[in-house]
Amino acid sequence: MKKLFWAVPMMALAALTSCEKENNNNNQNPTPSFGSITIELEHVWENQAVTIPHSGHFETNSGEHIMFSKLNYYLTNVQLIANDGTTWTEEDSYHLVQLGANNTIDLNLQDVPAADYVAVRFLIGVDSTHNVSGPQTGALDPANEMFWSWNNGYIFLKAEGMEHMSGTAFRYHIGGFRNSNSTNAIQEVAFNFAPMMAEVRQDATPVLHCMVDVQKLFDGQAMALQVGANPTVHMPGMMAVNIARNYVGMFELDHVHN
Amino acid sequence: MTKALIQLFRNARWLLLLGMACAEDPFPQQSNELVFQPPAHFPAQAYSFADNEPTPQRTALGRRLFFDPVLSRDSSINCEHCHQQWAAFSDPLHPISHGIDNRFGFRNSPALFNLAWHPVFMADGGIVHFENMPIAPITDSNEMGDDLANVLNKLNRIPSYRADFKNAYGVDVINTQVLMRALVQYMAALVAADSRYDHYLQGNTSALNSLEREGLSLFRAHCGSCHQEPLFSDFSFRNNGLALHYADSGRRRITLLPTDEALFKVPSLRNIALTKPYMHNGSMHTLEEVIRHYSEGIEDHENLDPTLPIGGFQFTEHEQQALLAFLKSLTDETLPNDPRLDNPGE
Repeated sequence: MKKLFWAVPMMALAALTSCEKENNNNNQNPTPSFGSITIELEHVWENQAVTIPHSGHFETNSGEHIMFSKLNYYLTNVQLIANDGTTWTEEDSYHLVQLGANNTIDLNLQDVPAADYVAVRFLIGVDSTHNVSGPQTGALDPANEMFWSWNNGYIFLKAEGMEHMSGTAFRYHIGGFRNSNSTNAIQEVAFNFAPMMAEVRQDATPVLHCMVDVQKLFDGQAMALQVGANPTVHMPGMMAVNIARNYVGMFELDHVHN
Repeated sequence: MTKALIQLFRNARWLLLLGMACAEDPFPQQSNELVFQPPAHFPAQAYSFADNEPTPQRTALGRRLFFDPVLSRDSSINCEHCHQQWAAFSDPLHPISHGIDNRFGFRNSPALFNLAWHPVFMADGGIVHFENMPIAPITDSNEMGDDLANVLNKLNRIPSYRADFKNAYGVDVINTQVLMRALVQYMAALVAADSRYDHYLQGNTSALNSLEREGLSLFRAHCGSCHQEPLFSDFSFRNNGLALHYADSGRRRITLLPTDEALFKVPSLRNIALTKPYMHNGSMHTLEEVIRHYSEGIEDHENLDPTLPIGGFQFTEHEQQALLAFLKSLTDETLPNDPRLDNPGE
């Protein structure tokens, strides 16, 4: 199914490219040109790097001091839009981002058609289809502990740690895919960066550099999340949806390198 | 009938053994190999086998896993621990499921059969795919208490499992998906469709006596809308008035909707004589108690199913006897005795 889904735009692309090539050079085989692109995720709290483990702690607007022991999330369904309006969809596009000793994590997307891209979009979370189709493989293998066994569905984001002043542990396991406002925590991130362009070529890998300001998890657009008031959220529901609305604001496209 | 069937299986087994001992290329005894077979009088199953075609190799692998305590954290218990064949793969000895370290869960462990027809799993429907189902007992700290990564590590270190998975699924490394698919193959093969009720449906009018047939009529009039034949469940979520307040929020635990408070998935009544204790919390120990509940004990819960009268159906003593007789005719003759479903290591 997935292959077929992919095959249609591929054939269209091949047809387009072959026409061009034939005009230019009748003897050459029409092979479309592919390259790669990197989404670079730089995790910060305002302007301080966030790593795990981390010796320091970060102060929220509510005055709580946050130390992280875990920050994992799913970045999925990546699409790139070229300046001619064509959309490229990454095949099997499921990335599990697990913050560790380096605050910058690169996602390398392969087999991207050569083009000048001006926009990117992706989900933070897992689409509903992949929540209800049985255990998946790779990044979505439930062995990665980003899956609820008792209330099926993927955990989109897992943030764990401690509030330093009170010693209160926090555990935020956020997910929920059902098609209702109170339980659907799937969030889309989209950046249109024109007139900047990410120029994908066979021998050129552009970088989309995203800042991921994890403070937004606590001080976001939907709510001021306080460990003292809500130390544990580990099921779908309105609280999870609000936290998801907060953390979707973590992502900002900073610049594009070519 | 039962004895004849078992004898048939045993004979076939001996033939197979003899065949293997005497000849290089014995005729495969296809009919005796365990593999999922939908009964002709059942509706289409809910689980799609499209990505998990039933084969004897996969089913045998699932059977090996089901009975292997390697799936629990301390290798102390297997799936059989709470799902015993003689009890239609239920646990008649504990009202609430019990796991490693003498821990207890919070619901009665369900009987396992005809699972390929279930659209969702568990009393609250929180598990939405057959292949996800075994993840819950394997990882629940009150049950087998392991984590999947550790289970996969253990299995991947056992050469014979690597070989079995390679043979069944063509994989070099065992992942959660193939582990679950193998378990599903065995669990799907736990088909209950060989009770006297089934024989009656299939045209053997003497399979049920007159009291049982009377019970069947009463059942169809009062119970059959939820416990829909031939699976004896419509797999909906309902409240049956056990109490005014429940400790377990049931379906609401998943949907968070107040209207789902204390709703539980309608259980199948097949093999009910083997699967005590009854109700989601194991609070009733005999079928007589269950029938008495529906006859005179239904409480006025705020989400009580509209098909149930507050105070019960007021069955007469004779009607209760007839219902009881009918329910006992739902006991399968194959499932609790079929040696192909038993622990392969014993």
